[in-house]
Amino acid sequence: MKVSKNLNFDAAYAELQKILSDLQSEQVSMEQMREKVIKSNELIKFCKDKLRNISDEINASLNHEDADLN
Amino acid sequence: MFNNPSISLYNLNEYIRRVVALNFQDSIWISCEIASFRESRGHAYLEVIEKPSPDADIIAQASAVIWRTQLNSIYKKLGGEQESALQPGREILVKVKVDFNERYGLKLIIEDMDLSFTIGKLALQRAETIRDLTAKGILLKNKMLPIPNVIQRIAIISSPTAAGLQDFVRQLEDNPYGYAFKSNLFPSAMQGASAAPEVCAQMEEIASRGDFDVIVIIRGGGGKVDLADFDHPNIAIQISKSKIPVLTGIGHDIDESVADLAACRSLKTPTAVSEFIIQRNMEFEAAVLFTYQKIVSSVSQLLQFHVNSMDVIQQNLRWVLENRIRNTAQALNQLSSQIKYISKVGLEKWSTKLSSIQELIAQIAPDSQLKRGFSWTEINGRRVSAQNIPRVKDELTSFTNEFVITSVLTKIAKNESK
Repeated sequence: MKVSKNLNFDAAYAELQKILSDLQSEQVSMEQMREKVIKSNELIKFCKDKLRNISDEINASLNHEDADLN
Repeated sequence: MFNNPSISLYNLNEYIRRVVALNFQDSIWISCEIASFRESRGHAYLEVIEKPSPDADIIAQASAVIWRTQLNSIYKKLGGEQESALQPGREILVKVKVDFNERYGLKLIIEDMDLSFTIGKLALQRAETIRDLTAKGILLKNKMLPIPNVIQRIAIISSPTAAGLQDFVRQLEDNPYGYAFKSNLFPSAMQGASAAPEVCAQMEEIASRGDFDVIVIIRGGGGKVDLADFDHPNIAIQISKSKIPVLTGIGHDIDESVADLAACRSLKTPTAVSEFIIQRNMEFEAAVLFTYQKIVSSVSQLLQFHVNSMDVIQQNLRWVLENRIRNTAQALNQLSSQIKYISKVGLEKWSTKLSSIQELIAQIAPDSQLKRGFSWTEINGRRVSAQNIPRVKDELTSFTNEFVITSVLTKIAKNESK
């Protein structure tokens, strides 16, 4: 189960929360749980990458503005 | 009728001639006034009279003659002033031989003439004229008229043959400043009995034309008796009536004529008049140039002032703009670092959330539970729970870290420790 390329951070995060609440419920099988954990790890990696990109973009953009003004 | 003793007219006249000849053997000096004067074939024929005062009736009259020889020597003595000295109205002192001719009657033969008497009489007459004209305010009238600052249209009263006229016109035309003049000559006799009436007539003609800046009355130098022609009160009166300023250059160094006294400005010679006119125009031009210079310098000062204030305004504008830009840049930088900070904090928050989710999931993940020794029991593919309670003899599937155990339920009870 691969993470979709069209996925955005908010959707990924919402899915993560859904997985967490699913996992916390008692209605999932061992196999389902294993799949959800794997999915959650992919989502977390996606979100972390996204966060890092956003941070880099913000820094680059703000530093660029600084250079223009000074 | 014929008894009365008588003599013939000839006898009578011959007798009178002898009486006269006997009593007037020598020539005598007499004073009289010329009533008329005419020349014929080199001889001069005069009527001389005497009046107790200028306006009184004639009390004595005689015919006089100056024979050619005497006339020539008198002319020589008068030195060119004969026309003025021997005109009607002049009082003269002459040496006469009293002659009586049987046919032509009494005749005074003039042999000599004393010019100084005429001049003296003229001086008295002149003083009388000046007194009279002064009392009537006539001498001041033309002086009250303003002379235009620029004189260009000039009415000249002069004799076309006068040397002074040529000098005057040439000097005007050759003026070093290149001023243009429009002069009209109004010809008039400048000496003799006709001078006064002709000058007056031309002044009236000029007045009727009207478009002149000044009237100039000029003639070349003349004698003292000549000058007397311009003492005639009529000229002064005509000048006083003029609405145009009159400049005279009648050409006498010592004395001023009555016309000079009545004129707005009297100058010695025609060239002095032209110099005066040129000088006046030059002064006006200089004043105009001076004013122009003043305007130019005021304007350039004003311009400089505005240029300077423009510079100041520009400087201020630049300063304000630079200030504004600097302040805005500062604010933006501040904003930028705030955004940077806030986004960093935000990102960290997200990061933390992700980490805690990851941790939670890791804890929940079955592998980690099993590793820690817990087992996981399912019935029919679902975890055993309060919602999924197995019954005795049901087949259970249990997961441990190492094994998957299938068993049959023999007994089930509630976990009392919970």
